[in-house]
Amino acid sequence: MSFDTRADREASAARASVRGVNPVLRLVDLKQEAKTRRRAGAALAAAVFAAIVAVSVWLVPGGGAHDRSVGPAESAIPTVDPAVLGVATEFLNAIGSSDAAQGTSYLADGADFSSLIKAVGPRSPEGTTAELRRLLSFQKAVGYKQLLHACIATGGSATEVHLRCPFDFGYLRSDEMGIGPFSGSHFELAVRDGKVVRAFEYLEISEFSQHVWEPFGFWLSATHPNDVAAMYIDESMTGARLTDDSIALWEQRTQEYVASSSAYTTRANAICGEATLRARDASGGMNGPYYTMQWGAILNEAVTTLRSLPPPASARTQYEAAYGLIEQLADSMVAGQTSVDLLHQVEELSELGLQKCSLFGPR
Amino acid sequence: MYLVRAEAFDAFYAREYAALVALAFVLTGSAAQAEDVAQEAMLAAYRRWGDVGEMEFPGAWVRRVCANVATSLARRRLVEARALLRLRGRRVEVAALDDGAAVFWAEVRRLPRRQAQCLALFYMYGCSVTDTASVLGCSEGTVKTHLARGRATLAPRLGVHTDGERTNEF
Repeated sequence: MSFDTRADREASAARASVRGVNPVLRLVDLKQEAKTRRRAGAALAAAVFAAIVAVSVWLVPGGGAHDRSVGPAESAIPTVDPAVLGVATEFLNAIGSSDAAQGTSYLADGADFSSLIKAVGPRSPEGTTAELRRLLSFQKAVGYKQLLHACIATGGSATEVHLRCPFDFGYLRSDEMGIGPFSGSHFELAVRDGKVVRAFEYLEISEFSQHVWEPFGFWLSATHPNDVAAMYIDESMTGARLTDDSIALWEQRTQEYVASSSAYTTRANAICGEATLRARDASGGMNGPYYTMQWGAILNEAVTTLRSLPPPASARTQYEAAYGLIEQLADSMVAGQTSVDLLHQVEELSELGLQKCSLFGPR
Repeated sequence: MYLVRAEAFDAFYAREYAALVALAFVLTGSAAQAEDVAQEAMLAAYRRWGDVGEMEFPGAWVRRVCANVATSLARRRLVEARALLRLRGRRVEVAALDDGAAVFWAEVRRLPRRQAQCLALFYMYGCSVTDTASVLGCSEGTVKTHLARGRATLAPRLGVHTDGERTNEF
């Protein structure tokens, strides 16, 4: 049999396998998700998220949903024993500070915390404390930073309390690169008899993946290709391998990456990208002078942010020149006097990660 | 104007969705993930429908996003996490493949990312070399190279022989 014949046959089998999919039902899901999915990195997202959590708590049976005289805010949130909140907060702070001894001391025997390991590590961990220790060792090695927000009760029973605890994070030294923190993540905990019996982690990595995880992976593949197999669980780099040797490599390579011009380029790309999103939101897709002036003002702020972290010595001259050009462009846009020469010069800054900081960035 | 756009998106979704799930299925190997990957791509299109809907070939755009999400580093992990959060109990609507197809696509997934994407678009979608290049944003020569290398790698593993270079150009 020829390859083409076999491929056609198996493609046909794959197409037939999805015939039961109902696009109409999933379209409803999609529109719902589009409404609730937070916008990347925006501070507004945290407020919206808090509101959603507050409303969901309000809707918990017995949580006040039927008492219209009581607002859905704090007064309707189920009361939680401060001691339980203390256990949850101290456990999560221990996780955030990569303190294995402290963290494991809050875990009940047989506690299920495999989700914490799966968030960045192997897909099918056994869920042992040894794995948790290695995860925390990895976190420490790659400069994990966690900013925990207030935990909120979401339900439970007479003997078990369920909590949701939102947090922001920095990973792979993203804070050292001037990127992040990344919001939208949360823990879900079940606490019983003063111990954590279940810990689930949802790590919102869409922005983190785009601006940190993937650029680091590309850099590593290009500069240290032989380390990829040792550091990741698979070829597609979807998770970190958590062994003593690999953790040491992660520490070393992330340090190198932060010091490289690649990381600085990634940061520049992220800052210009955020600026374009702001401009799109602000202008509503309008063209013309209003767009240009508004984008010019946002671009000026972006350059201030870009300058807040000095470029690596190897690329300092290039970046300083580029920032000067972008400032000129931004000022000229605000003044409504943009020159074609300047536009062309700025368009050529793509190698520095500044391509979105051009006139056409948000378009 | 916005209402018209919304209706256009619904029609686009109904037309493209099943094939997108199939593409995601062969590239991820997971029935459970396939719909979520396709959904992620559609969500991206929905959010940018003002721009995407005005493209000459919005289907090519969403296929590229789908192929990238299905094969890209950490994004699949995000999709998995969202799927876990979303639902307990949602039925998986994608049927399992028979052994022959399962083996074939598993071998495709072992290929380098771009080769796998090219083979999936070419055979699953029936994209021509030109269309595949357009979807992936690369040259036709690059697509031909990826296809040829992919076939050459897979043929001995699957015990089949390679013919000439089919291009799907009709």
